[in-house]
Order: sequence, then structure tokens, then C-alpha cells
Amino acid sequence: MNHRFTITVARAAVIFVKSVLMHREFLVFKQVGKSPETMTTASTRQEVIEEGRKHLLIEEGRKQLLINLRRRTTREPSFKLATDTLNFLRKVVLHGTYNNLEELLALLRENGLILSGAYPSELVMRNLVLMVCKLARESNSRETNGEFDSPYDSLNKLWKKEDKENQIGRSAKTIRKKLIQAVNDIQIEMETCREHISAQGQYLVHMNDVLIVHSLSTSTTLSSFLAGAKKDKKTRVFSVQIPTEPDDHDAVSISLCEVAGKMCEATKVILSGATVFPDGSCLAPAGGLSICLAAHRHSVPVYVLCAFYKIAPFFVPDSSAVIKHSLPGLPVAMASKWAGRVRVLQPALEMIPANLITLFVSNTASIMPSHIYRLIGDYYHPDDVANY
Amino acid sequence: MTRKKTIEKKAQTVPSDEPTNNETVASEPSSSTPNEPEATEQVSELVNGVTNLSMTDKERGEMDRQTKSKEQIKAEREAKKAEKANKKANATSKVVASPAPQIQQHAPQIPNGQTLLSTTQVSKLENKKDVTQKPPSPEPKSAIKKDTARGNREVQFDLNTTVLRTPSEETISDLPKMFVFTDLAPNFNVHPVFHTLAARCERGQVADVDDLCEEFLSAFVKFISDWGAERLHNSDADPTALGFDLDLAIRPQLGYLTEDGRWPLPYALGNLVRQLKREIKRLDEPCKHAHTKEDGTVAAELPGGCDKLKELEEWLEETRYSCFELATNSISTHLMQKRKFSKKIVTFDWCRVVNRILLDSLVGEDPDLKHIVVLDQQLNGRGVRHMDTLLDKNVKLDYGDLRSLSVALHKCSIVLIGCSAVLSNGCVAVPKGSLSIALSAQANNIPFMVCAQTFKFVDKVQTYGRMALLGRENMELVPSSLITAIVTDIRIVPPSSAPAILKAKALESQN
Repeated sequence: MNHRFTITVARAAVIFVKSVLMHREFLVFKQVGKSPETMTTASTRQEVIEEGRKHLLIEEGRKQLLINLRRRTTREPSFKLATDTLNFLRKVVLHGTYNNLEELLALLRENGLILSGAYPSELVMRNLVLMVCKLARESNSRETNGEFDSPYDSLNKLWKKEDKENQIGRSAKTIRKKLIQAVNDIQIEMETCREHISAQGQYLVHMNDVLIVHSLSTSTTLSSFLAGAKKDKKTRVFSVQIPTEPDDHDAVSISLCEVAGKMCEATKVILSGATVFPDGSCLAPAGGLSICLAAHRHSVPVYVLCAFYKIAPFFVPDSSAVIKHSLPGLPVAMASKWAGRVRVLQPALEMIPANLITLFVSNTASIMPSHIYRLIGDYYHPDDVANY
Repeated sequence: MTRKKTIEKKAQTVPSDEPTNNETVASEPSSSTPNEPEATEQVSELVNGVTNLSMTDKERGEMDRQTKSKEQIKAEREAKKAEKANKKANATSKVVASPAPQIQQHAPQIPNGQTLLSTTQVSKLENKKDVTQKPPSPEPKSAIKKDTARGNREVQFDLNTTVLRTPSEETISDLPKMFVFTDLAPNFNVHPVFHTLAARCERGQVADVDDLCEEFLSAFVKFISDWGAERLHNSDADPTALGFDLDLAIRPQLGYLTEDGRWPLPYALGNLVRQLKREIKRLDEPCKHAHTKEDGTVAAELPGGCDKLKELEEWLEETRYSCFELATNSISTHLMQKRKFSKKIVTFDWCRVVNRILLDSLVGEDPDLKHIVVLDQQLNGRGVRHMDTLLDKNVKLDYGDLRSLSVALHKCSIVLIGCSAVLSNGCVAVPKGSLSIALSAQANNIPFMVCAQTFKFVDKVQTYGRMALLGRENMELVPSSLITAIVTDIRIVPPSSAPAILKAKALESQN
């Protein structure tokens, strides 16, 4: 009796596993967009399964990225987010199915839209998607023409006929190889970004300068910039922070309400930017606007540190759409009393207009706010920006 | 006033006595001359003037020549020289030799180990003996007596102390510094209500200048009633010098609050104290209108100037009512026109006037005000008081710190802020952080209004870093260029009209 029972259980288990595998296969076919019945030969069937697995791989990577974003309690540095996004995009380029540039761009755009739809406030993700799109176009163009013509320099080539057939007809394998190499280059550039910015600190900060910095504890770029500035120069640093934040030993901590009074002593204000817009305005940690206004009143120069991946190709007319609110951190008694009655405002970021900023310190150079739009041509393609 | 005069007279008489005594002492040798009437004349002439002295010497010389021969004169001169020489010799010997024998005389009477006399005490003893020129008595002075009597109790190993003191003689200043609480040192001239007020301020229980002024006025009423009752029992008190005495009595109180003038009083409180002092001075002035009864007879004044003190108490109550109740009402009324169409108001930190305005603007079935944003220097600060009062009202409430400034000012109609003082150049002393708000409001083209009662206007152009009672006050100056208007109890004025308000207040107080 027992023997029979075990046999039936084993058979049932086998059937279950088979059905699971079948279902998974079905899912794979569903991902590819073809039904298993239409597949005739075994080799084609195997290819489709392989294709579907790659799809699943991309989807899992995307899910993992979004879950990591959802899990975080405080806002992490943009560098980590940029690295994660780039790793995901590399996965898309590597495992994605495409035969030409158009399909690759569509695939990248599709994934990018899902990411930026889930987190519209994280503009860095969108920037990197568009950046990879431009690199894809660049690598394809190099493959066909031998050189890449900047779309912004196309005024003299208006009468030239565009050879679209050449662009489409390139093999996906070569594009993929070149693009992965370009993405790796971006990765290296991002990693060395902090060093380049901190190296500029030696030239921008002078002897006996009094600096006012904001969100020093959360920005590693800012702390490395100050370390670079302090190497051979004696400076005094006022760090604007809330009382609960940990103190930095090298800086005198002041609260935000004291900034306007201290500004008469300061010679420079240094902020870390979250996103830079083409018109020269930028998103900075909340509180930056009042610091900049006070600096403007006292004619103190304001430097904003921003890596290249923070330069956004779009301008956001309503900044409230991209500003995320952080957790308020009120006492429990008060929170229970106010629940449903009071809205506690705690924006994480703040929009600073271009006229309050003196200089953007990027990894390549120090740029005036009015010249930011010129960098956009280096990193983005106008067609990608228009179609996004 | 009479007491003051007597003090002045004493001060004049004391120095005038000394030169006359000296002159009489100087004139003693001359009185030894044979002609006594001349000597008396000399004394009288000495008092009159020095020029007369030379005249008397000449006359005396003529008289001597007439009566004495040359030999006699020579003999007298020699004798005088010899006397002078003797006197000089005695004086030098006294100066050199006098300390030694005295110490030698005292030393055997102090037991071993008790010779730790201070140099000041020794020198005092010497001086006394030099002045009196009496032979040293075998008994030591009383101070030494005490020391010798308590020889067993003395601490022998304390090398730092040069003076031996009994427990009763020890003062708080003799204790090691770590045990001295100078702030808690008892000041018996200060009324307990001022002690309480200072302690409350120290603990941070007094929120702002308005509360402080109100508490000061109520404390002063208590002080006056107690002081008046004490004065009533004092039979020596001069009824005509009531104001003068009260002025003297409040000095230690104010000195205690300002730590002996170390820190200035907060401006608004300083204004009130100035007015109060003026009222106190008026107490000594003769009454313009005597108290008359209904039947026309003049009412008898209460003893000890109680009626005048009552008048002062009434004045204090009236000031409190006009400065806080009436002024707040009129500010709220003046602002009614301005806030009529405003749907969103942003305020910063706690101010009772602003709170009153907000509550007033929420009265009615369908108030225009729909949205109130309260900002604070940091979360869970003083602005929470606004929230406590507004929580049950039918209005949308937002709360945040200065980091949420740009979000708070979005679609805002008015920024309304209370202040602690308005200076004569139009600058306003406001809580720290208001300058950032004023700058942001200007950048967003939002009117920045300041509420201030007229007693907060001061004729100064600068603030101090620290004020009395409120400690290192969280204040900063907002320049007049950033302020749209100041809402006072007279009317809404631009910040440039601060001198006009001051002038109006001055005229009002004169009348």
C-alpha cells in the first residue's frame, strides 16, 4: 500500500515539475511574442527559449534595481544610483534582442521609460539611458561612416542626403561589442569623476578662504573636494546641517537659520548639486536656496559640484514634480496628534535658479551656468531627447 | 527730596572741616609767642587769607626787636636750631625702630604656630600706635585675642591662608571657586518676584519679549504693593519723597535683572522701564488736581503715599492692557483689509500677536484664509504653539523647518512675522532665520509684513549680541529694504516711518 502511494506521489511530483517547466516555457514564448505551437523545428524552438530567458534576465535586473530603490530609507548618493542604472543598461545591451540600431534604441527607451515612470524624481536614471542611447548611435555611426558627426554641427551638411540604409543594415553583434566598450568607458569616467572634481578644489579655493558648505555628511564628492582644497591651503569651513546630523571634525557646524548672519564672514559657498538643467538652474539639497540668496545679497560666489551624469537634457518647468519629500522625524506623541491634520513639509531637494550660481564644477572643467547647454551636445543626441 | 538734600549737605561739610583743622594745627607754634592777642589775630587772619600771614610776621619781628637785645636774640636762635635738630633725630629713630619692639612685644603672647598674622593687621596696629603715640599696652588687640583663644581649632597646614578666620567670619567669597554660585548668591535687596522672573527666564519658560514684558509688569505690581506696605510701617519715611525712595528701591531690582548693567534690557522692556521711571518721578510732583469729595471738601491723603502708589498700580495695569490687549486688537483690525483676499499665510516662529491675527482671520463660516504654513528654526520648535491653537480650526495646516522654505512660499499670499524691536532706521529685530525668509519672499515677490506694537519701537540703530533675561537671544536684524510694511496699533506703516512712530509716542507721553 505504502509502496503504491509513494509511486503515485512521485508521479504527481514529476507531472507538477513538468507543468511548471511548461508554464515557464510558455511564459518565455509569451515574452518573445510567439506561441509554442507555431514553432516547428527544434532549433528555432531552442532559440526562442534562449531569447525568452534573456528577456527574463533583463526584467529581473530591472525589478532588482527598482526594489533596491524602494527599500532605501534615506536618499543615497547619486553615484550609487548611477552605477546601478549603468549596470542594468549594460545588461540590456548585452542580453537584449535586436537586429539593428532602431530596435536597440527602442529597447533602451522602453526600459528607460519604465524606470523613470517608477521614479520620476530620480533624473540620473533617465540621463544615463539617454546617454547610452547616444553612445549606441555613435558606435553605429563610427561603424558605418568611420566617424561620428555631431548632430549639433549639422548646419553645413543640410544638403547632404542621409544614408539611412547604412545605419539600419549594420550587424547587431558589432554594435553590441562597441557599445559595451563605450559603457565601460563611462563607468570608468564615473569612478574617476570624484578625483577630478577634488583636484579642481586646489585651484578654486584660495588661502584663508572661509567656506560655507551644505550637506557635507551626505555628499562624498563635497567632502573629497574640501579634502583636495585643504591639502596645502588653510581654510575655515562652516558646515550647514541640522542638529541631529553627525558633526564633521574639520568643519564648524551651524544651523540653517544662522547662515544669513554668517554670510558676511564667508568668501565662498560650495554646494553639491543633484541635477543640473540646461538653463543653468540646478536641484540642490533642501536649504540650498536660502544659502544662495544670502550669498547673492553679500556677493559671495556660489560653486555647485556636479558630475557629468547629473546634467539633464530636459528642463523641468514645475520643480515640485521632481522634488521628493523625505521623512519628517517628529516625536511620536506629536505625530499621533497631528496625524491626518497637518502636513509636515520635508523636501529633500530644492530648485536653485541660474542667476544665483557662479560656477558649476564638473569633472572635465568649471562651467558657467549659461554654458551648461553646450555640454548637452557632448552627452545626448537631440533625437533621443525629442522622442523620450 | 529732603533726604537727598541732607546727604548733599553732609558731603559738603565733611571736606570743609579738614583744612580748618590743619590750619589750626599749623598755627600752634605761633601761639607760643608771648603776645597772645596777636596770636589770636593770627588765627583769625589765617582763616581769612594767606597774605595776611606775612603781615603778622613782620609786625612780630618789629616787636621782638624793640623788646629784646641782640645777644638775647642770638641765644634764642641757637636754642631753636638745637631743638629742631633734636626733633629730627627723634623722628628718624621712631620710624626705624618702632616696628621691631612692637612685634617683639606681641610675639611672646601668641602661641607657637599662631604667628600667621596678616601684614595688613600688623600695619593697622602700627599705624594706630603711631597716631596715638601711646606706649604699647601689655594686652594684645582684640583680633589677636580671638585668634589666640581658638588656637586649638586652627588649621595649621593651610599655607595659602594668611588670615585665620572663625566659621562665622567666613564669607561665600572665601570658598573655593568651584563651590561658588554667584548667580545664586542671596541679594536681600531684591524682591522675590524678580528672583522668580529671572529664574523663569533662565529656564526658558518665558517665550518671547511680549511675555517677558507682561510678566515684568505683573511682578512690578506685586513689588509695589509689598514695598508700599513696608513703607507704611516705617515711621521715618518722608511722604514728600515717595518717588525718590521708590526710584532708589527699584535700582537694585533692575540691577539684579541686568546683572549690574552688564547686559542691556530687551528693547521693548527697556521702553517700558523708561516710562515707568518717568511715572515714578512724577509721584513727587505736587498734585495738579486735589482729591475732592462729592460735597466739595478736599479728601485727606492716605498715609505713606498709598494713594499715589495706587495710581501707579493703575498706570501699570493700564499700560499692560493698552500694550497687549488693545494693541493686538487694533493690529488685527488694521490687517483685516490686507489679509482679506489672502488665502495662504506663512508665518515663522512663535509670536502671540500673529497667533491672534491668525485666529481672528479664521472666525466666521467661510473665512478667506484656507491655508496656513508655520515654519520653525528646526522641527519641534516654538512654532508648535501655533499648531496647537490652530489644530481644531477648519484650515489646511502645513508645518516645516527652514529647509522647506521654497515649498512653503509656493502660491503664498503674505508672510507674517512678529518681532522683538523696531529700530529707528527701519530695521527690525526678528527671530533668527527670518532674514532667509525675507530674502526668499523678496525673490518670490511676496509681501513680508511685520507685526509690532508701538512700545517695541526704539530710537536705536543697532542691536546687541546678548540681552538681559533672554540670554543670548535668537535675534537678527532684517533691513528695511526687505520689509514691505510694519503693522502697528496706530496703522500700517512702511519701515521708513519708524521715526514718525517714535515722535508720535513721544508726544503722546508728554501729553
